[in-house]
Amino acid sequence: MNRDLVTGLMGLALAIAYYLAASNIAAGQLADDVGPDGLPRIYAWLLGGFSLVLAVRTLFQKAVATSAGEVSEVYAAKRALGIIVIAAVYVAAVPFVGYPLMIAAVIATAALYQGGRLSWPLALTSVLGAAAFWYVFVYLLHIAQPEGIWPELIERMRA
Amino acid sequence: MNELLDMFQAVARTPMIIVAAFAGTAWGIVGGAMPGVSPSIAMALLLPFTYGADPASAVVLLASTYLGAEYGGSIPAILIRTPGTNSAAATVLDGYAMKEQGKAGEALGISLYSTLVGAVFGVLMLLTLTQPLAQVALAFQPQSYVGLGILGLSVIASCSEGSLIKGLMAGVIGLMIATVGTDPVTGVNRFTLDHPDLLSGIPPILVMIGVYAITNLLEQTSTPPWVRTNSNEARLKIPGPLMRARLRLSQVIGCIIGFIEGLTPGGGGAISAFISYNEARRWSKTPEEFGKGAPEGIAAPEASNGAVSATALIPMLGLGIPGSNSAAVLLGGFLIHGMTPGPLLFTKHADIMSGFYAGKVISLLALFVLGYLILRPCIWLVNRPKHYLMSFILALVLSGVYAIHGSLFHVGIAIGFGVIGYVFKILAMPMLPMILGVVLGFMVESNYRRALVLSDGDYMTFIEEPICAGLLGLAVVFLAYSIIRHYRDAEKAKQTGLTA
Repeated sequence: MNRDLVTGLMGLALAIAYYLAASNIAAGQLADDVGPDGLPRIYAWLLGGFSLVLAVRTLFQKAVATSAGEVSEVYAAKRALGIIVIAAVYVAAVPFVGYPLMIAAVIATAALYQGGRLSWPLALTSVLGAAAFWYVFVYLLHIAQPEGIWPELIERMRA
Repeated sequence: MNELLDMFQAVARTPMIIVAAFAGTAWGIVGGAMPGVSPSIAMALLLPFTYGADPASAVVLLASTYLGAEYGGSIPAILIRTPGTNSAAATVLDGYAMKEQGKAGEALGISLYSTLVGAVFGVLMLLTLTQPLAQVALAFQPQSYVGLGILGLSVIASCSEGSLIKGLMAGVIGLMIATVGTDPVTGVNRFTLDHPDLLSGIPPILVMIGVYAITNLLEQTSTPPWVRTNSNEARLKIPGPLMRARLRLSQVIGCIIGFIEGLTPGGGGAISAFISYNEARRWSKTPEEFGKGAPEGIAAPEASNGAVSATALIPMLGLGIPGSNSAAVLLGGFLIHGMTPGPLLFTKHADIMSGFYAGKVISLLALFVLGYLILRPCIWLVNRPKHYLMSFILALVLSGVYAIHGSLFHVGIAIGFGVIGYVFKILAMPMLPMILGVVLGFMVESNYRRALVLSDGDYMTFIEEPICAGLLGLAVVFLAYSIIRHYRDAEKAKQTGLTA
C-alpha cells in the first residue's frame, strides 16, 4: 500500500481514538468556556482533516508499485525491532537484576546484535563498560540506579 | 561594557562554565565526526547529564556541543567523503577533492578556521540581538503569548521537509502530546490512563531523546559499517595570511547567509551551507575551480555553519521558538532547569544568561584549541567498530534517561518515542513540527484559556491586544510565504523532473 495512504489512515485512526478519549474527559467544577476537552477536540478534528486530505489526495495519484527500497525498509524495521526488544528487556529486568549486570548485558547483546562476534574482547568491553557507566552515574553523579534483588538477598543470607 | 563585566562575574561565580564549554565542544567534535550523529543527536545524548549540573554550565555544555558538532561534521566529509552531519554535505564537494590532491590537512585547517570565523560573527549577533528582542517581549499579556505560540507553530510550514500536510499532521500530534497531564485551568486529568507518572505531562526532554537519539540508534542497525579513516592523513594545517585573504569574501558570504538562515525557522543547516557554497561560487573570480578542490568551497559553507550555530539560538532565546532541531534540544536543556526561554528569561535568570553568553565566547576558544588538538583522538574513536559505539550509545541513553527522574516508566516513554520517531522516518513525516507542538502546546493552551477567562470569553481580545494582533499578522504572513515557497519548489521540482 502507498506510504502516504498508510500515513493518512493511521492519522485518521489516531484522530478518532483521541477524539473519543477527549470526549470522556470530565468537565470539572472550575471549567471555563473552553473546558479541558475544548482544544483536544479541535486538535482531533484538525488531525482527522489533514489525514483525510492526505489519504484522498493519495488515492487520486498514480499507484506506485512496491519498490526494492520498501522491501529493504521492512528488513530495516525488523533489525530495529531487535534493539527495541533489548531496551524493553532492560526496562523489565533491571529492577530485579540490578544496574551493573543489566547494563553489561545491554552492551554485550547490542554489540552482538549489530555484528560483533562472541569473544573475550567483547566480554571484557562489556564488563569494563558497565563498570565505567556505574562509576560515572552512581559514584560520580550520585544517581541511584536500580540495585536489583541483591542487597535484599545478601541481607537475608546474613540474617 | 556592563554585559562584559557580567560575563566575567558569571565565570568567576561558576568556573564550571569553562569546563562545560571545553567538554561540550570536545564531545560535539567527536559526535559530529560520527556519520549519522547530527548535532541535535549529540546534544540529546548529553541532556541527561545536564540534569545534575548547575543551570549555566548545563546550557553551555549543550550550546558548545552544537558548535563543536558543526566543525566535527566536516572531518569525515573531507577525509572519507561522508558528511558527519547534514550541514557538512556541501563541504564534501571541495573538501574531498583537496584530500585527493594530498591537501587533507589544509582542507581541515580551512574548515576549522572558517567555522570559527562564522561562529565569532554569530556569537556577536547573538549577544547584540537577543536581549533587545526579549525586551520587546516584556510587555507580553496572556493574549500575546497565544500570538507568540501561533507564530511559533506557523514555523511548521517551513520545516515540513517537502510535505506540508505531513508537517501539519506532525505538528498537531505534538500538540496532542502536550495535552497529556493535568489540565492547566481546571486541574482535571487528561489522557493520563490513571498513571501517576503522567499527571505532570510528558516531559519534552523524553520526546527529544526518543525521537533524536533512540530513533537514530534504530536506524543505524541496518546501515553498513562506517568507512575507516587513515589518521596519518590528518595533520591539521591552519591557513597562512595569503590563504586567509583569499578566503575572506567566501567567509563573509557564509556569515551573512548563515545569519539570515539561522534566524529563519527551518532554514539553517544543510540549506544555508549549500546556498553559501552556491553564492561563493557565483561571486568567485574562478568559479570553474569549485568542485575541484577550491578552498573557498570549504570556507563558505563552514563559515555559514559556524554562524548558524549561534544565530539559530536568537529566536529560541528571545521568543522561545526553536527553529531547528538543535535549538529545540537546547530549549529542552533550559526547561530541565526550570527556565523557559522567551520574554522573561533575561529578567528572571539574568545571571545564568550572562554565564551562558560567557560560555558561548569560551567555546570559541575551545573550538580553536580542541579542533587542533583532538583531531587524532577523535579519528581513533570514530574508527572503533560501529557495533561497540552503538551499544555504548544505547547503554548511555538507558542510563541517562533513568537519571533524569529516577523512573523506569520514563525510560519506557523515551523508548516509545524512539519507536514513534522511527515510524515517522518510515512514513517520511518531519520530526521538528512534532517537537514544536510538544514545546509550544502547553503555552498556547494555558494562555489562550487564561486570556478568554480574563476577557469574559470575548474572542476579539486576541485582535484588540496590539502585540497579539501583530504576532498573529506575522504568523499569517510567514505561513503564506512558506506555503507559496512550498508550492513554488514543488512546481520547480516537477518541471525539473519533466526536463530530465
